[in-house]
Amino acid sequence: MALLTRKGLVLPSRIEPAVSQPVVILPADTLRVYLPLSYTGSRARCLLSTNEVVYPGKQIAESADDGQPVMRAHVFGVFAGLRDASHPLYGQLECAAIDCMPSPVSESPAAKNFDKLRPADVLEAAEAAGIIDELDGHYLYRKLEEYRENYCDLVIADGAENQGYASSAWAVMNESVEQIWMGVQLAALALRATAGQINVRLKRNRRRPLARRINNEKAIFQVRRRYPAVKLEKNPWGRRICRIGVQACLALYRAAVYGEMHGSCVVTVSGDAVKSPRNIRAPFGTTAEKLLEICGLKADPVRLLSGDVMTGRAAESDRMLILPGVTCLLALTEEAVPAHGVCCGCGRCVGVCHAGLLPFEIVRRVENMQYEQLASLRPDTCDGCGCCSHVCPAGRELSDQVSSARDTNSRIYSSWEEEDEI
Amino acid sequence: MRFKRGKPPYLRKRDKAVYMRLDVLIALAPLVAFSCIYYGMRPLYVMLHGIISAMLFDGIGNLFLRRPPGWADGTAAVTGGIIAAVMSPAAPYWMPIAAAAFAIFAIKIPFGGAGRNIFNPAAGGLAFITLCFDGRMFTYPAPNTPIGDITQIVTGESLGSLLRSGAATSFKPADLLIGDFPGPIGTVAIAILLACAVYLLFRRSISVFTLLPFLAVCTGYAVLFPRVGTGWENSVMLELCSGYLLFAGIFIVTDPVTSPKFWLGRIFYGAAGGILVMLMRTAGRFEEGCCFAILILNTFAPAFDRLSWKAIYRTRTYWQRLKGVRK
Repeated sequence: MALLTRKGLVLPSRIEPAVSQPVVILPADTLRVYLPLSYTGSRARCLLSTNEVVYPGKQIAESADDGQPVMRAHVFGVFAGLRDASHPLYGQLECAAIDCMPSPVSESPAAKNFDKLRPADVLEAAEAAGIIDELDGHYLYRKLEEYRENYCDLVIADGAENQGYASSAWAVMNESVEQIWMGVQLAALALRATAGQINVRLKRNRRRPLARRINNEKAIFQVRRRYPAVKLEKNPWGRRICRIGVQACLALYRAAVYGEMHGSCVVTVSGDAVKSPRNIRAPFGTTAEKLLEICGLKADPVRLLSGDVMTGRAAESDRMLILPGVTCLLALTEEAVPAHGVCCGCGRCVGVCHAGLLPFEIVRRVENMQYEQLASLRPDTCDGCGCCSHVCPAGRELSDQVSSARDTNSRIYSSWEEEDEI
Repeated sequence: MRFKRGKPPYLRKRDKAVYMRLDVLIALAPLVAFSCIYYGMRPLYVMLHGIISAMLFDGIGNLFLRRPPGWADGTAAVTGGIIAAVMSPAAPYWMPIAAAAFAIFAIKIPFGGAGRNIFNPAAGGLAFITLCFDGRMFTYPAPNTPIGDITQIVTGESLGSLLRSGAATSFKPADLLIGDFPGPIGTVAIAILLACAVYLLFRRSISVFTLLPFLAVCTGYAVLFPRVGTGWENSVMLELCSGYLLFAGIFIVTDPVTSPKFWLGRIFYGAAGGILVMLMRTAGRFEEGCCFAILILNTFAPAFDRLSWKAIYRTRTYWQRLKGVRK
C-alpha cells in the first residue's frame, strides 16, 4: 500500500552553499527603489510630487477604488518620478521611483509590552505596516480578519521549502526564530486560535537548535520530505488551519511590538549561473539586477526565475523588482524543458499527482475539445505543483494545460452540459 | 539583460519515452539469442525482418500523416520485435513482414500514429496472421534442430496443441524453464522471460499492477478449469508456459499506450485480460488466442481508467469530508 500512497516527488536538494552563509543585508541608503502604487491591479493616483521627501509610513498613493489598502513608503528618500514595471507575479505595475537616503532618525522606537497586546492592536499593526504574506501575496490583516470570521484554531508559520534551491525561510528562522514564534502567537491571539506551530523541512541538526531556542520541542513540526508538502485546510483532527509565511510572522511581530513597516524580505539568490549563492535581505522595490551583482555571475543565464524551480515564474529582464512574495531568485543556464512529444501512456503523471487527478486524461479532453466531460475530472482541485510535467518522459506541458483547464473551467467550459458531474 | 520565458516547472526529470521502448528491445534480445542456440541463426533473421519492415512501414505511414518518419521513437521497432518473437522459428520471412504491415497500416497509422493508437499494433498484426495463416503460425520445429530449408523441418507438438487435444501429461519443470520444447521464438525460455519481466518492472517500463493480476487470474483459471488430468500444479505450469501467454502478459498486455494508466484500472484490466485470454484458449478456434483477447480488452481500457478513478476519487472525497479535511 505504501506504493499507492507515496505521491509527489523527492527533488534534489541544492540549498547549499547559500544555506551555510550568513544573510547579507542590503542597506536601502544608496539604492533607488520602486514602490508599486497598488499591488491589486486597482487604479491608483500618486500623491507625491517630484523631489518630495518620503519617509517610512508616508502615504504614497490613493486608490480610486473603495476599500483598497493605503500604500505607504517604507524607506527614507526623495521621489524621483513614476515608472512602469513588469513583474512575473503581479503583472504590470506603476511604481514610484525613490532615491533612498540614510534615515535622519537613528534611535529605534520604544517597544510595546508584548503581553498587553490585544487582538485589535495586532490587526491594526498588520494593516499599518502593510504586511503582505509571502505565501499567497495577500494582505495579512485581510487574511487574519477572514480567518477570524470563519473561526480558526491552529496557526502555522510555513517555512517548509522543499523545491530544491530556496532556503530563505531557513535563513530567517536561523536569524530570529524567537521573534517568528512570537509572531505566530500574535497571529493566534488575533484569530483567538488556541495553538500555533512552525512547519519546516530541515534535517535534525538544523531543526533541534531552533526548538531549543524557543523552548518548545513540539512547536517545530517537520513536514514530509516529498514535494509538494500537502497543505490541508484542516488537520486530521478537524482543526481549521491558518497558514502564514515565516517572513510575514516576523514582520507581524516587528510591526506589533516596534511599529516597523514591512519593508524588506530575505531572498535566496541561487542557480547554476550564480557564482556565490547567498540569502540576501533586500528592501522591497530593489531590482533583481542589484542582487545578481552582489552574488556575481559565472555564466550568462538563460532564464531568471522569481520563485523556485517547480513553481517559479520566468522574468523577462533583470529589472524585475523584489516585492512581497519573492523569496527565491534563480539564474539558470541550462535548457531544462525537453522537446514535446505525444503521450507515451506511461501513467507516471497519475502516479505522482498528490491531488489524485488524471492529468493525461484532462489534457486529452482539452486537446480533443471534449469540454462537457472535463468538469467530471475535477481540474479545479489541481494546485499547479508541476509534478506531472516534471516526470513526463514525453516532455509534455501537463501542469500548464491542467492549470489552464482549471482556470478557464468556470468561465468557458461551464456552457457545456456536465453530464458526468461527480 | 533579457531572458527566455517559459512554463514551469523548470526542473525536468532526465527521462525519455524512447528509453522505455529501448528497454523492451533489450528484453527481447536474450530471448532471440536463446532461440538461436536451439535453431541456428534463423530466429535472428525473422526478428530482423520484423523490426526493419515495421520501421520502414512506420516511416511510410508517417509520410501519409505528413509527419517526419518516427523511426527514432522506437515504437515501430518494438511492434516488429514483438510480432517476430511470437512467430515460429520456421516461419517464412514474409510472415513477420505481412504482420508488421497490417499492424502499422491498419492498426497504428489510421488512429494517428505512435501514442494515439487504441489497439495494440502487435496484437493486431498477430491476429491477422493467426486468422489467415494459422497452419504456418502454429507449426513449430523440434528444438535442437538447426533450421536450414523450412520445407524440410522436423516439426514437434507444441504445448498449446497438446493441451488442446488433452494429450498433455507432464513436463519436467527444468525443461520448461530452459525452453526445451517446441514453441515460438521468444516465448519458450520461461526463465529468461521471468528475468525480462523483472528487468522491465525494475526499469518501470511495465506496470506490476497489470502484470500480476493478469498472471494471477490465469493461474486461478488453470486451477479451477484444468485441461490436464495430472493435477492442478501441472495444469498451472503447462497453461502458463504454453503458447505465448507469459510473453503476452509481459510485453503486450502491459503496453503503456493501450492499457489504463490508473493503478486500480490496471488491476481490473489485467484481471479481465486473464479471463479473456483463458476463455480464448479454451473456447477459441485456435490453440493460442491471446491476440484476440487483447484486442477486445484494449477497447475497454479508457473505461477501466475512468470508472476506477471515479470510484477511488469518490471514496477519498467521502472520507476526507467525513474527517473534515476537505470542505
